Amino acid sequence: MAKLKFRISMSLDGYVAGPDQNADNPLGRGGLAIHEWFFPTRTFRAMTGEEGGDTGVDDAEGGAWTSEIGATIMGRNMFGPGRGSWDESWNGWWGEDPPYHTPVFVLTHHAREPVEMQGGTIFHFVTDGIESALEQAMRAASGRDVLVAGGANTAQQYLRAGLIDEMKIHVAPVLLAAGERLFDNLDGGPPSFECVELTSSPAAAHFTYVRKRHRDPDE
Amino acid sequence: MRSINARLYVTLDGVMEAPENWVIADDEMVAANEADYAQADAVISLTYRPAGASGDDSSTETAREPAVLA
Repeated sequence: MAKLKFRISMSLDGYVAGPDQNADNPLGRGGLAIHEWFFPTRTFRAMTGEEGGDTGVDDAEGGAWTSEIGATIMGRNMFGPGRGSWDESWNGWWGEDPPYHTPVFVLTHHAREPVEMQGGTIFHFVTDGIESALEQAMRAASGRDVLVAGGANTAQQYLRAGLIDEMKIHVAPVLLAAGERLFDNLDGGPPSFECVELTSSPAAAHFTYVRKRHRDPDE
Repeated sequence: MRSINARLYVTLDGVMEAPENWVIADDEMVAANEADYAQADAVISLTYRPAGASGDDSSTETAREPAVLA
């Protein structure tokens, strides 16, 4: 059965973005450091049209899941710096050929017509909540998995709802001390996950979690 | 010059409280601890009493006096 997956890079002190995120600095002050582990990898270089790159643990973790993902979900704040009514000229941070190559469902309070990009990425704008976005994404993925790409607020909504099946947290050995925390606003305590794999390099520690199953005995 | 080193345990979501509930001291960790201690001239161990262990119900986090092992 298709799964809902979530992956994100995080600082050792729990931040997935630095403070003062804006159009010039989408990851916030110091936020780029959270992602430094990924840039030298073959996977990242291929995403940006470059050859070569490292092929160790970080490459394996950064490239994991990619071929299994049939649709992507993200929050409005990850899609762009704008709030409120749409600036229709804004089509994301990623240029004409975004690295998603799937339908992308953007959670927003403001309706907008879909935007088709190059390379298979189509941005759909969902105004009726996370369950609807998940339903639409699952349909679009036609049997493949769906990825929650971020950011923190969107991840927290799906974690609170208990809908994430598997997640990878890539922990960078940096301290930001301020910004946007991932494991916050989780009413009712931490979500119930089991760490099934832990790999590390000098650049990052990669935690893979699977949601613990709570099922009726007769199921 | 000598340095002050810290060995800290923390959960993925940033909690240090009540490590007795979640630190798994496997052989590798015990060996790493012992290697650290072997290099240290002194150890300051500052821990928290588990809630209720002191018999004082109003206290949930009571810092112990640091134990200094020279």
